[in-house]
Parts: sequence; structure tokens; C-alpha cells
Amino acid sequence: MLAASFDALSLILDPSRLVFMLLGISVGLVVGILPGLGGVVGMSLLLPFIYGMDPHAATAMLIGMAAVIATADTFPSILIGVPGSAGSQATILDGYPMAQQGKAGRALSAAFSASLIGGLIGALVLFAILPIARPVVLAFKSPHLFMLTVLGLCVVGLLAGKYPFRGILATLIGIMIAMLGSAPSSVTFRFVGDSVYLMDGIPLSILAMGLFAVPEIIDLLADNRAVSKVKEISSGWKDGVRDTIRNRWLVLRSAALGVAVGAIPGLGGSVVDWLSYGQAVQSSKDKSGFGKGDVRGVIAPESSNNAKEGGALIPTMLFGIPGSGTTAVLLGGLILLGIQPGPSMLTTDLSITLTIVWTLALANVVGAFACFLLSRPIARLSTIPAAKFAPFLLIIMLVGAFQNTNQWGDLVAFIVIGMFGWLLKSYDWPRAPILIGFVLAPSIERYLTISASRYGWSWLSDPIVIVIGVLAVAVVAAGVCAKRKGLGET
Amino acid sequence: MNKTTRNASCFTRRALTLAVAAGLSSGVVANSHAELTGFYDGETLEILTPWTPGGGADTWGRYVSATIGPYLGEDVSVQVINRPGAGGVQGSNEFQLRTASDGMTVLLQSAGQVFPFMYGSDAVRYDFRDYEPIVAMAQSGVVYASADLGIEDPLELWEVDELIYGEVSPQAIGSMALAAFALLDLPHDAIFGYQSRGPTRLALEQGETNLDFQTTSAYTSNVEPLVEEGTAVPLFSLGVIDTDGELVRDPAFPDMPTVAEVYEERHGEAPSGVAWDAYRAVLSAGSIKMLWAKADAPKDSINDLRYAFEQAREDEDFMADSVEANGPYEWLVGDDAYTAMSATLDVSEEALNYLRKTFKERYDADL
Repeated sequence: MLAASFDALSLILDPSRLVFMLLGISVGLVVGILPGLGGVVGMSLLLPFIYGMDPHAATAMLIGMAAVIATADTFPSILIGVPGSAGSQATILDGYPMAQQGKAGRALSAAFSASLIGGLIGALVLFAILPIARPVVLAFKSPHLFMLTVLGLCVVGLLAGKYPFRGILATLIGIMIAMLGSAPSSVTFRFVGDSVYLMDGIPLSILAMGLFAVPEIIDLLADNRAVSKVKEISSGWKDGVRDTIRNRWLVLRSAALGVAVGAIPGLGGSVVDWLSYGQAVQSSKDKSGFGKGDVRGVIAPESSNNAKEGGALIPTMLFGIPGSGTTAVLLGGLILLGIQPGPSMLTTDLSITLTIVWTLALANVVGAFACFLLSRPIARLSTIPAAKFAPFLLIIMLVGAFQNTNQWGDLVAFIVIGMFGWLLKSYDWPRAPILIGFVLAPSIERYLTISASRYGWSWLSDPIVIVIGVLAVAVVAAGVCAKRKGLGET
Repeated sequence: MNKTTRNASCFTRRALTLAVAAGLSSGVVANSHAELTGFYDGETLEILTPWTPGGGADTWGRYVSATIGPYLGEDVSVQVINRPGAGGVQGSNEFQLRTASDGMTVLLQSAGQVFPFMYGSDAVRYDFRDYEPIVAMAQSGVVYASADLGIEDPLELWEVDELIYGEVSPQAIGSMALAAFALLDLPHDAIFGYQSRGPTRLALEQGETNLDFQTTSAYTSNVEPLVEEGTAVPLFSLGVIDTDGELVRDPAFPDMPTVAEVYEERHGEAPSGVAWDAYRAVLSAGSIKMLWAKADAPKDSINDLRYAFEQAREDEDFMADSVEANGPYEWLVGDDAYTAMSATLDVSEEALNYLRKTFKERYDADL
């Protein structure tokens, strides 16, 4: 396999293919930086061009695009407190306060270096375990997946801040919003009325933007101030890299978590940043700085959300089952190229598989360096008064919202949720639990339905189910204890 | 084809429109399929695809968009436009209500909009019988079982104690297999709620289920390796509907019996009656991908579209590519396309009621 992997490397380093990879990376950077646009949009932009292309060049282009989004989407998260895509919300919690303190440079460089390492780990794990991953993915049956989603929900306990009760309530609101639309196992539509728009439920990116971006912009505009409360941005680029190196175990742990969550289909890769953030808080001795600009709160989500793509490719390539929204469109791209993902990815199509692994690694390096280069000029954004950039930002976000389904409902939903998010922010209610409840609710319902109708009650006595259940209780207990000790609000 | 299903149609109010449309389309076929009028020269044809990019029907649409241009005229560009929403209903409503009849847009049809149409969902504003058929392709699939059951022949299915089949929802494409089980009167448990047919296949590999259905491309790439290593056993194909409206063996699996053959072997006679009509209605609803034009689009546009596909399928290179990408399936043009879909479009109220009753009794599901 080593010899084959070097053949694949020489294939994609061929200048004619390298150009397409760089093209993919550029699209990924732009889509990542613009708030509200994510991997699915990037894929849709590139798909029309790939038919008839050389399969290696085309996969390099698609993967190059997908690989850098989780790096580039950090810019808006840190600089303006607006999620760059659905996977970089947790970065806001500590990255944005850092920018407000004038430490945007340090936060960005910590984020990019953590992203870089996370992405490389993702690629490495993909390469190492792909040949043996089949039994691992097959080990997770519906009851186990149900318990894992419950465990994910329990992480909310760590994020809820000083009001645990509000955290629980917010989670339930998130679950309720997820109930809008079609039910997972029947032909029933819930709370839809006559609205065809609501039949699909609220799109995730609209909920994320509404909850996090709109309130921030309203407050900035109301004060008409710049994000950064200090005039000069301290450079701090080297400090950021040093932060990452100092927290190398956190980076590794978060990356491992990212790969694992990405690799298990149906777990909801879009909350991996929150899970990782929760894990970082949980494992830290001094929790007081979280939510107020602790660099670990930037490093953990950034290393895991970039490692996730490597993990998500495992079920995509081995089983043809996408592990994330981006890989779902990638799957369509591969099929257009005449590649049917499945066991053949390790035999006849091995060279394509290796192209994907190499591109993932190369694109991470190129993407991270591009972001480093871009960050100096882009970081100045945080010193511009809000009245100057907010209109521009609002337009981009409205366009981003509208491209979800191209229906007016998108705009209405965006504005309504934005107002709701602003109320939550003003009254100091936690917003992250809403998002987590929203993302995990369909999986919880799905796997509970399947478990109950397939196994009756007997699945409850499965040893793995019990182990995960105990773990979930422990996470909640740990969260409550931490709160007593006075964890910073989030 | 079975004429009684046509006559007993619940859609009698539509009968007149239908007759007119059929008459018009046969007129077009007779007169002017001989040449291109150049309607699309230098123009862009849009394929309205009511799903997000990346799914099976979207991929088929993109295949068409990438290959048919040269047959449509000089310098013709063909683009897929994605309008996702409500499983395909949203984009199809948009085609009905808002798309101009200028011949520049065709609608891509696949299972997602057809099931809500067939079962009469309130959200549906479109009626395929008001449109002009352009081209269709019926891509079917295979029902297979886990090797753990220890069976090798479909007739042994009735000797198994516990058959467990994984399904997405009662109106997903897997309902073709459910209708086949109803026709065969096969006792089984169905577990609903899987996200798509990928996870149902995974569930069979895990032992969570032991009976599954996959479409041709997924079966070829992901189940055939399992058959080779001895963990899965193919049982029967769902069959495809030919240009005469008859169910025939799937050209991708010429050695595999169809549902009808299994039925015949078990009962000693060919399937017939309401269960058979219902099966064929669900089969064409779930297996056919098709392009439709608006009936009041310019005659030249409809002529050119049909002519392009007729030319393309005569072209050996085009067909070789198509077999590679779509499997060994025919491109059915114009009236042939309509005939293939007619089991669904002209389904009788009796057959629909049979399906509603069967799904209610077996799965407690409302269609």
C-alpha cells in the first residue's frame, strides 16, 4: 500500500491536477470565510464542472474544497462572533472574547495551527484505519447509536453555564424546533399546517446563523462600536502557535474525538465542535477562563472539526454512507465520476482512495498557510465600527440563508429565529443547547424508534448500552459539580 | 397492458385532458421526429431537479445534462437546477405554478414526487398527466437476504421463522419491496426509520435485519462483494417495465428471477388482480426516472428533445457510456416513456385502496 500511496502522490502532484486542487482550495476558502455558506454550497458550485474530468483531478478538487472549509470558517467566528459555517460555532465562545480583548491574532493563529494538526491527524487516521475500519463501523447498531446521541445531549450539561435549568429548557426547545417537518419513520408531517416550506423543517444553517449571528450584529450596531474593544490588535501570531503546541494533548484528544464522531454515520457531525468544547472544559483543572477568552476553548473545537472530515470519509468510502452534509454531496460527485463507493475503494479504486487521503493532507497544509497569510489583513475587520460593515454582513447572511431552499420561508425563518436569538442573548439564556438539541433530536428519535421496534426492551440490557449510559450520567454529574465551583458562563 | 386499470381510473375528471394530451403526443411522434428544428441552438436548457445535489436522481439528471447537449443542436448548454424541498414536491409545484412554458425548462421526475402524487397528498399541485413525456429510464433493484438465514432459493423464504426487513418510510423507494412482499404474501417484520438505503444495508450486515432491498448501482457495488464472500444471498429482482408495459427480467440481472416468476413458481399461475396492479404501480413510481416538458411548450422544443434522445440512443458511444454510468437500461422516448409510467399514472382507486389497507394492516402506516 505504501508504494501505491507514493504513486498516488505523484499523480496529484502532476501540475495539471495540482491546479484543480488549488482551485478547489480557493473555493473552499471563500465559501468558508463567508458566513452561512458551508461545504454543501461549495460542492454544489463545483459539481457542474466535474463530469468528464480526470477522476483524480476531480476528486482532488472536491476534497481540496471540503478540507479547508473548517479552517477558513474560523475567521468570522473569531473576528465577528458569527459562525462561518455550521461546524465552527463553539469557537465563538472563547475566540470572540479574545478578539474583543484585541487578541484576534493570537486566537486565529492558535485556531489555524490546531486546525492544521487536526486535519493532518484526520488524514493519517483515514489512511491507517481504512483497511480495517469495516468491522468497527459495523459494530455500532441502532441501540448503541441511540445511547451515543444521548451522551452527546448530556454534554449540554457542561455548556449551560450558571443556569443549569435554563440549559435543560433550551435543549428541549431545540428538540421541539427539530420536530417541525416530516417525521423520520412515517409519512407524517408535524406542526406544518399548509406551509410547504415547513415540510422539511428549519435548515440547520439558518438556525445557527439566526441564534448566533443576528444577536451579535444587533448589539454591535446598537453600540456602534468595533468588535475589538482595544484600538490596536496585538500581533501575537507566535503566541497562538505556542498555545497550540503547549496544549498538544488537548489537540490530539479533540482530533481523535472528531475522527470518531465523523466516522460513525448518523451521529450528527455538525455538533462535534460542541462535544469537543465540552470535553475540553471537563478535562481542565482551571475552568474559570472558559467563555471569557481561554485559548483552549478555541483549540479544542478547531482541531476536532477539521479532523471530522477525515473520519466522515470512512463510512462514505467503505459503505457509500455519508458521515456529514459535505460528504453526502461528495458521494454524488464520486458517482458522477463513475466511482461507486464501496469495498472496491480498497481494491480497484485504491488509487482514488489514496488521492483523497493525500489531498486531504495537502489541502490542510496549503489551506492553513493561506489562512495565516490572509489573517493579518482580515483581522483588521475587528477594529472597524459596526455601522460600516454590518450592512454588508447582513446582505451576505441573507443571501446565505436564501440559498438553503430558495424560498421566502428561508428569510422569514432567519429573521424570526434571529429575533428569538437576540431575546435569548439579552436575557442571558444559553443558545448552544438549542442547537445541540436541534441537531441530535432526529437521530435520537430515529434510533430509539428502530431500537424499540426491533429489540423491544431487550436492548436496554446490552453491555455497551449500559456502559455509555453510565458515562452519560457521569458527564451530567461532572457538569453539575463544575457549576458549583463556579464555571464561567457560556 | 391491462386496460381495466385505465378504465377504472379514479381520475376520470382528467380523462379528457389525458385523451387530448395522448392525441397530441402521438401526433408529434408521427409527423416530425425526423429532424431537429434547431430550437435549442445557442440556448440553455434547464433540468429542474427538485432535490439537493448528490442523490440518485440528481446524478441521473447531471448525466443527461453532461451528455445530451450535442444531440440537441449547435452549441446547446444543459444545466441542472436544484430546487429542493418537501422530498421533491416543492420544486415540482414550482414547475407547475411558476415555470414559463417556453420550452427552456424540463422537470426531472423520480420517486420523491411520484409517491405523494400517487397517494394524493394535499401539498401536490402538479399532475404528470398534464405534461409531455420526453424520456424515461427504469432502474430497478434486487431483494436479498443475509446468509445467516441458511436459504438459497426465494421459495425457501416461507420456511424462515423471523424475516426482518429494514425500511426508511412507507413512501420511500423501498416500498417497492414492501409491495412485492404484499403480492407474494410473505410474512415479515418491517423496521421503519432508517435514514436511507445505505443504513438499511448496514443493518443487514450487522445482523439487525436479515432481509433488504438495494437499487442496481448500490447492489452491484456494495452487495455483490458480500455475495461473493458468502455473507449475503440474492433472492429476486423487482423487474423492469418494458415498452409494452409488461414486467420483464432486469437487464442488469438477467439470471435472476423477478417477483412475478417467484409468484408463478409458488402459485402455478402468473400474478394478476388488484395486488398485481398495485405492485406495478408502486414499481414504476419507485423505479422510473423521467423528464417531462410542459404540454404548452413550443412544439419544436418537444420534438427536438425527443429527437435528441432518439439519436443519442442510436449512438454506440453514447450507449456504451450510459451502460457504464446507469447500468444496461433502455432510454424510453416519448410515448414509450409514458407507457412505462402508466401503471402509476393510471392506477385504479381499487389498487390504491388495496395498498392503503395492506400498509395499515401490516405496518400500521397511513399512506
